Amino acid sequence: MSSTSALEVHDFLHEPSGNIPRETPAERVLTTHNASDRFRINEKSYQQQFSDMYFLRLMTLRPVVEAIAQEAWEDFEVSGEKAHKVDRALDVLPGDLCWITGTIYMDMPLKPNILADITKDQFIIPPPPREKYVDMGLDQTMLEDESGRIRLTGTALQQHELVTGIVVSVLGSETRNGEFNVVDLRIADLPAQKPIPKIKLADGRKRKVALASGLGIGASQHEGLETHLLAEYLLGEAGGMGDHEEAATISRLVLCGNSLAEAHALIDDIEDSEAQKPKSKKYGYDAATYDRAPTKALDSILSSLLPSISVTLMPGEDDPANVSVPQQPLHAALFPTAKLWDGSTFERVTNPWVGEIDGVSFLATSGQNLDDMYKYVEGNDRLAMSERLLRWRNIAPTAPDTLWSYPFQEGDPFVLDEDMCPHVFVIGNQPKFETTVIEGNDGQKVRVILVPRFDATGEIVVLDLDTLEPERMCFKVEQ
Amino acid sequence: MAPPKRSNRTVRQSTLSFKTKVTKSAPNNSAFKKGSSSSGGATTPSSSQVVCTIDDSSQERAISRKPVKIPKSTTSSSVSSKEEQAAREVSSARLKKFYAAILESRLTAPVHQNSLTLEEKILRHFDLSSQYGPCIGITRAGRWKRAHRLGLRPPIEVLAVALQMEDEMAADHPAEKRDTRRAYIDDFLSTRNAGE
Repeated sequence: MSSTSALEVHDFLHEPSGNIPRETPAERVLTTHNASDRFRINEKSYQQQFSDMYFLRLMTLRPVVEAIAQEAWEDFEVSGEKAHKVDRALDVLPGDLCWITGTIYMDMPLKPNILADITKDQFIIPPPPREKYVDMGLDQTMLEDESGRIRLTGTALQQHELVTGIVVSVLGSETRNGEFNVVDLRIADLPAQKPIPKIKLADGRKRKVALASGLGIGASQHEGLETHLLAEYLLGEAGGMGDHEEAATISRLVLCGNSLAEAHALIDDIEDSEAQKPKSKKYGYDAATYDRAPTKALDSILSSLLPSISVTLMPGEDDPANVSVPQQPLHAALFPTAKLWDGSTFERVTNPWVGEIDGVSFLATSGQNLDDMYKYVEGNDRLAMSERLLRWRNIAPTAPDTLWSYPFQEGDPFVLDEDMCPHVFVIGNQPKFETTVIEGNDGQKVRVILVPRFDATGEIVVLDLDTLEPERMCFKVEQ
Repeated sequence: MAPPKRSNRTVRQSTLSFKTKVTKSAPNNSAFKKGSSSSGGATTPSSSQVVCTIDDSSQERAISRKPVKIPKSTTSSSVSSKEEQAAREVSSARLKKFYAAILESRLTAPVHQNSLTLEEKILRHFDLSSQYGPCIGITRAGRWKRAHRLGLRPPIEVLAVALQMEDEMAADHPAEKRDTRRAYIDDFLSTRNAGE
């Protein structure tokens, strides 16, 4: 018998009479999506060398940087001497106040060096990989263009935190021992940005996108409760009506890499030397050592999510994709059930990824570019480093030096085009969640988001598409 | 039931052969012939037409096609047909003038180049012009097109000679002659032939 005085609407149990107002289940918000295949490599040819990439980078960015430098230093005078432009690095005369444009090369002895590795191999156990390559006493900064290199010195360099592969203009003069003493430095800064179209939904609901990285499925012994909790939340199975409403505003989930944990051969667990002998291979892999469980688990989670929400899957460092950046999309054969949604809600994309959701352009990477840049500069401020990546107009400047990359010959896709300033810059697999808005000279605004690893922190980021404000959601199981 | 016996009367079907021409004997249509040969040496994509004529001479209606000459430009990855057309119209007198201008701009004449043709001399000068990028690992025509796309304005005469080399290499493949589509220093600086 229902008590008509207390009209409490229970979320899970409804009393059978018709007086209780029924809540209709919320429908998910739909957004338009345009993907770009900028980082797809269709024909792989390795006949070319990496010098082509540096040439393309310099050719694309040099006019931009030169224009900025020209404007800045047109009337620069020091004790009566005016600064003038020099076309080639080798044409610099000693004592002459001038400015040149070129690519920076950092000569760091602590960088992984193949010759040092070979000699060390012979004699001693190799040391563990270093956290940072930078060493103020040993490093040398050089400026390079097609003609040659010139070494840079000066206190002005310290405040700029330079990295191999960025295109800059430097103002200064050559000293007696052939080094260029830098007084001032200019970079390309943010490119132009397209305006975001204003979209308002008829029912006034918000539109959101969920960003997650480092799911790390299949690694540990326990079940991955947090991942299942995340999936249930996104599907609207967890929580009350309020949570369902919130989950319904999320239109897309972007997985920024490392969805699978690092590969772990089964044979390592077996102590027996007898079992360590390689068995005969069938279908190209040794069935005893290949562990299929992680991909099966990821596949089942994806196929539970895909009927309801769109998922964009990016490969990461630990995923079974190619090692060199740009990583190509994970193969459809890894997802026997999820690939059925390949044309509609499932999207396997490259790392880095450029996409547009309801007119908001996203540029996302799985973190390898920032992690590699981190080794070149002092300090821990990853947010400042990612801001610099955008201001240099090059999201992976250390490729191909220390970050393995495909040798591009026609155009360097890591260099941002003139009108390609993203609205949101996402970097996954970072130690903690950080965000900021950076502004450009022409009114560009970019929201930079560092997404933390889900298996370490249990956090995802939910971004509102109207205000571009991110918020953090934590899924943790009390131990 | 046993399968039906093959009678001796059935003719054995011939296997597919691509050697014979597709054309059936068609009346000599001079109007069409004039249209396709006016372009002469410059075979641009617009001139390759598939001509459909109705064969009046034979009983059945037949669609006859002229053997389609695939223009060379579609085989390379990035087609800039306007530049290629202009390049194919460059005369050898113009090439001589161009190279003479290069020699004028130098301080001394290049040495040890007596055995080279004019075309090869022009191409080697282009290879070593570092403002167009590295010459290793890319064909000369490809490098010209890339430099053109980046706005560096490489001379059209170089493209003329490079396309000439492409045509030569495509026409006959002598094993002893080196691949003139690529730079000379590419032969020993690149790793392509490392395994041989």
